Amino acid sequence: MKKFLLVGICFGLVFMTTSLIWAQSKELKIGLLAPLTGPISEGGQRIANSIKMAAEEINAKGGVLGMQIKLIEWDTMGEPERGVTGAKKLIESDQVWGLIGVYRSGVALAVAEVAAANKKLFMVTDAASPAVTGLVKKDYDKYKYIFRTAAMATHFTISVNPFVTDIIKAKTYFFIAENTKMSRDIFEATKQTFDPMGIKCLGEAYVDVAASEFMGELARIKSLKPDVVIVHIPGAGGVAFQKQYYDAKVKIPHIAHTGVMNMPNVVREIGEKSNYASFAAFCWDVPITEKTIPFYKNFTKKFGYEPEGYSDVRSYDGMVVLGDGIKRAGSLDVENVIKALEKTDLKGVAGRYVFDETHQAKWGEGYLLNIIGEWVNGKGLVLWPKAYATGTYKHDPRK
Amino acid sequence: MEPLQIIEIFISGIVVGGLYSFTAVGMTLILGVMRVINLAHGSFYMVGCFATYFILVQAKLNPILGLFLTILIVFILALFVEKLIVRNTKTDLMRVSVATFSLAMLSEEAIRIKWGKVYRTIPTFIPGTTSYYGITFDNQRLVASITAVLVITGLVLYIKKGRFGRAIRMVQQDTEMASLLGINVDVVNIMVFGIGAALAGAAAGLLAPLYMIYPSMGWPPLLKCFAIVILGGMGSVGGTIFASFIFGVVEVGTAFFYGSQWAYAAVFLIMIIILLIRPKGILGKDIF
Repeated sequence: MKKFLLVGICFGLVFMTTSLIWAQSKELKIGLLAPLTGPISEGGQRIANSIKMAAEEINAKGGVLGMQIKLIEWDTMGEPERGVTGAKKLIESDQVWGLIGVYRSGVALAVAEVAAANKKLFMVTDAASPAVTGLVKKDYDKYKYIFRTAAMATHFTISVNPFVTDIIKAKTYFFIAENTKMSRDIFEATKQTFDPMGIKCLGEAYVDVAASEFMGELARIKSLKPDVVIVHIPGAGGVAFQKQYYDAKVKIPHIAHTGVMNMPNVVREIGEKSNYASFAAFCWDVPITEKTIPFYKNFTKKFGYEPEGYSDVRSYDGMVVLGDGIKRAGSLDVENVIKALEKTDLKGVAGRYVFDETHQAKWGEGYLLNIIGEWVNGKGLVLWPKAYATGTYKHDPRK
Repeated sequence: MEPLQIIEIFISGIVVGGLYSFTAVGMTLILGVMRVINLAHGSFYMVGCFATYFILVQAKLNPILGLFLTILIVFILALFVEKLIVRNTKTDLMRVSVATFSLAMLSEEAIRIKWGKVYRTIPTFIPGTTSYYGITFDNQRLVASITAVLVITGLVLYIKKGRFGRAIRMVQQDTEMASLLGINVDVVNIMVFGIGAALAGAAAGLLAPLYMIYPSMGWPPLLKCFAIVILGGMGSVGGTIFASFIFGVVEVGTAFFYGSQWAYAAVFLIMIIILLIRPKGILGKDIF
């Protein structure tokens, strides 16, 4: 009797172990890196939520090559050291097939080294420095594992061009931004774009990421009298800046790069002080593709707040693009997946995804573009492109 | 450079300094009387901001009632913190610092779990702007700054003249002697801690509509308060107020003339120079 019991237990253990191994082999483990706590966790949470939403939708349709995507999260807190620790842990301990996400170029660059050293595919969905895909250009064989659906710093610059050149027809501008590497990259790209056009920079200001008082900067802007003010304060300070800009009656047209000022839930709570704030968004709830409006509806229903059009949309699309690339590769062999991703031609929420030779999602007509809008009485009027325009620019009429 | 611009920068700096003094005085009061560096001070401010959000935006209550409720909530919370944590750790500076720092981290995560990571903001409840000779300020900011000065002045007068104020001064000067003279030192300490935190709560109620609120928003004000308290002289309310104004004017002036990226450098350079000349800070150690 005892012998039968022992044999039965052994069979049971063997069955359980093989079931577990079988179940795990039916999983495609992807490491999700994002700042889930800390001052930039708002953006990090959008990234994580969007990637999870995409993975759930892919899994509901049968997964990728018959495998269900299993996301394993790691909180980078926006710090490169934590990004490296997390990437190593996900690869060595959790045995993930690839990595996705990130926020902040410093973290992306650090994680890229780990991904490259371990030959793991890394889909960057939110980090703008040209240096990220610059790695692929520098040493293709080493860094070919890196792909980016996120916009590049130059795209941020280009995204406000139509406002500066076509809507306001500015000859001078002032640039104010958070004191980060990305901001400096954006300013350099801005200068390179506008200098040849004869559009002069009258001044620049870099504020602390946690800054909440801008009286000095606003006094300087008023004294210099630029035709337009370009704002890159995507974090919490962006709201304080807008409120103070409105209160100080700085009636110079201003446009914010994608960030907190294109979050409808935030702008609603700002109220009247959001008036006449223009913004560039990398996506909006207009029919850019047939997937755009459904995504906006589903995201809002699922999470209780609207997408802001960048961290969320590009991360969602990044997961979809990755899944599509693996499917077309027909296997998990990373070399095959790289070749398949290089041939990507897919309509996502934000537009059409095609990668260039540096594995950067292409920008421009027919690929990915942005919209320019203006908040008036709580409504985001679309000013550009004309195909989606719902209004014309309104100057601040207050005396 | 027009004279009006210089006046605008100076007045803006004073207004900003007034806002800083609101939270800084609370910290210096606790430090001066209890000899405790409360690293959870920024968290009281943060909790106050979220309490204001809940009261004004979610519960849609009257703003004046909301302000009093915010102050009350933070005050009561501080009483519990003093009784359970500070009282049992304050004999050792390191222990109380670590304990209050841990509490700050815990409160940040608790708020994050409750309210999520979505950014929130509060509409201003003192609408409109005030302009004098082309210099414009929003009324919420002006009222907050003036209220800070009035509240702190009232507090200083009460502590100088009032009966409980005398008890506070005696405990600050010599705890043992105060105890021997029949003053309940624990009651004085808990009330001072509560009042210090309540000042942060009052600041939250008035300032939250000016900014955006998020769980980790308590850390920048904590660092600023610390710098201001050291500059003004640890435990000196007058010194803290003076230092707040210096901080505000230097920050705004530097941002205007040299750019924002130099503002903090300028402030801390001034701090180093003053501390080299007066190591105890502008107005030394005595609190009143």
